[in-house]
Amino acid sequence: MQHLKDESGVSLLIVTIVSILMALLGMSMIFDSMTEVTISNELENQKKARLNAETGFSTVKDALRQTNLTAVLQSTTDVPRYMNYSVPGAGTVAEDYFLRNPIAPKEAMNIDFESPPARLATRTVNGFLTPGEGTPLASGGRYWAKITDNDDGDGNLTTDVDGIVYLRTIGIQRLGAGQITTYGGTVKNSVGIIQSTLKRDQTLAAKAPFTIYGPNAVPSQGANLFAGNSFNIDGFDHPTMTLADLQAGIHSHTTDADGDGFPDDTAGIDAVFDNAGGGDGTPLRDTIHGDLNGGQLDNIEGNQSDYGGEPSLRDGTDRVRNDPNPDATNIFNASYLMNFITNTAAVADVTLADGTNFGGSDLGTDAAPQITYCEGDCRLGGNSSGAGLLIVRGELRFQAGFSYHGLILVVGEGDFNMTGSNVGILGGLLVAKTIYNAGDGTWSYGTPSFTVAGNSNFYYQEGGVGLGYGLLPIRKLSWREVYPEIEPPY
Amino acid sequence: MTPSRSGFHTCSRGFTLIEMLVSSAVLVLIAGALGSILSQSQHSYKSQQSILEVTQEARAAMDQLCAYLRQAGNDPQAYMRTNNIPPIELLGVDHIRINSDITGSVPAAGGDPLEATGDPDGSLDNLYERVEVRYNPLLENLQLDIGHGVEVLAENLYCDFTFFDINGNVTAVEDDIVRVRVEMVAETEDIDLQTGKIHSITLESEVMLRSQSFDLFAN
Repeated sequence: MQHLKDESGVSLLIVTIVSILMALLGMSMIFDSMTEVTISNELENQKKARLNAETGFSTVKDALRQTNLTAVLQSTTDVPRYMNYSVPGAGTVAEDYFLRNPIAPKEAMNIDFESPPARLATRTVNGFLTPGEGTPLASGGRYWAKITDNDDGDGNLTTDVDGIVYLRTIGIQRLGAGQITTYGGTVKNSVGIIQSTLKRDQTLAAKAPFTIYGPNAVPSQGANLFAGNSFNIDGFDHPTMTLADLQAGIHSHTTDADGDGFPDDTAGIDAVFDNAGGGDGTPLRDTIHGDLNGGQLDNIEGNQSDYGGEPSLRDGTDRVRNDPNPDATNIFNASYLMNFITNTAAVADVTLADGTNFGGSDLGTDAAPQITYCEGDCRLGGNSSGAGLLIVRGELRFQAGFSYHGLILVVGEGDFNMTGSNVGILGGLLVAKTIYNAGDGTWSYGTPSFTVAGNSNFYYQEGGVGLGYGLLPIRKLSWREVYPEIEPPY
Repeated sequence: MTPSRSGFHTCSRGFTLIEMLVSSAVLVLIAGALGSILSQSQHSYKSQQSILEVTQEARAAMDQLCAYLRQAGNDPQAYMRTNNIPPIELLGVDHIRINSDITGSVPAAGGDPLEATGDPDGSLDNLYERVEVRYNPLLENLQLDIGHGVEVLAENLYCDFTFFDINGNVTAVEDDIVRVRVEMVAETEDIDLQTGKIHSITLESEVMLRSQSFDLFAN
């Protein structure tokens, strides 16, 4: 069968052709699969980048508790600049939006921040809330965050007046090693940008160490609102005082804490009641004034007074009405206040049961202030102390050397009794009686009660009041993703 | 066997008819087998390609839809609250409108309000602010209108929305909606000749409306 040898090449030919066909088919499938994998990788990374930005948003929003927004806006961070990019012209609308970004979107997209190139320059940026290189995450990505002041009418983007700021976070996710990309040999980052408008509620930004809200007031104990001549209600600001100073009996005040050359708008006692046709807080103020004997008048001092000096006592209702702080008048609404109190209870660090007799430990410190919520009556003593925000729904009694730094709200029963020895408050106190109207589910204000006696000390401190309301979670007014189509072009 | 005069064997006379028929039959069998393998590969390739296409299309549609849902109810200027406009309007069966004040405070160069950019402006008259989404069961497609006309977002799919309130209960009360479940079942257009079936993939997403998420101290 010699002829078969001559035909063996046919098999080779057939095998070769079939192999080529199969190889082409296989290659085609591999290329298609690679394209699909690339698209999947980039979709996955895009989602991760957005989630990184959301992680940054949640973390930073929470961290903004206990901060002074103006101080954050004025703080600066050195942020490296790794590449050249165009910046919109100064004073343009596009520049406003561009500068809200913690880093330039072009850098976010292009730079390998794990192994960055040599920096070209360093920018000094206000309101930065992460390290200049961003905060790395376990996902392999990282985020940057920055707050920017809104247009609050003061013409100054580093001073907050209305408690509202923009928070913008940029999250990135870089393709992992071995992941293929539609950019060919150029590896890029997926970028997600989130902008939120945040608001710090300033309803409780009191302007006196002792604010009483209601149509009038009655004694909590005995026949008088005030007893003895040893108490001290000081409505000047005490910006440098600490809880330790309060406990040690050391105090110093200033009459012009804001440095504008005029006495501050603070008083020893603010009597407030929104009743324009009925004299507002004047009946309450008059009752308080009528209860003070001659030896007690000069125990109440401060910058403002309806009596030309001491006692520093005023009807503070108009001050609240005309306060540039847009939240100030929320206090006129008892339902708002009680909703606020109910919500705060949900985030309290410590909850005390009705009838608690507290002492021996602390309810927060200057360094670690906390929210304390008491469900009913509460007696604080034992030469102990507290700092932060204290809310009491029943009677609050200070006794046996208790000191508190921060903001105290005595609402609900609105019954405050400060008759112990060496007791003190550094910050502010609000006493208001609230009554629930079962018919329509609303709240209204009633007549509060209080007694101040012994050597009780009330020292106003704006920072102390801020220490209290700064503990409240910052509110989210708006949340949106930023993409080129909704951003002024830059 | 008698040697020929030329010295060649008589076998060089050529193939017999039988040999030709047998070899042809073998060749046909081999070609048929190869063709079958190629055909199956081709079908499999087409089938996979088709599955990938519908998967990508459904996934892209889901991503886009979820992005609109996440931002539903964004209302920093209280325009929606003032005018009693819910974040999500239930217009019909699997037909919704997603309302959100997203942009508009920086006018567009041509003055077209639709194209305005910037921060929310206290109205819903810009692109992306009234996004209408509708599943058409007759055409089996998902239609989208972001403000300049209806377009088809994805085809050959089934889409279903379920709405939940703050307690996790299914609700049809627009103001109570805080979470939305979107389920999509996308199908290949052609029947798989090998299996005789239509391939389908199911995607499901649950989206919290960020504006409705539990935020203490909201008014």
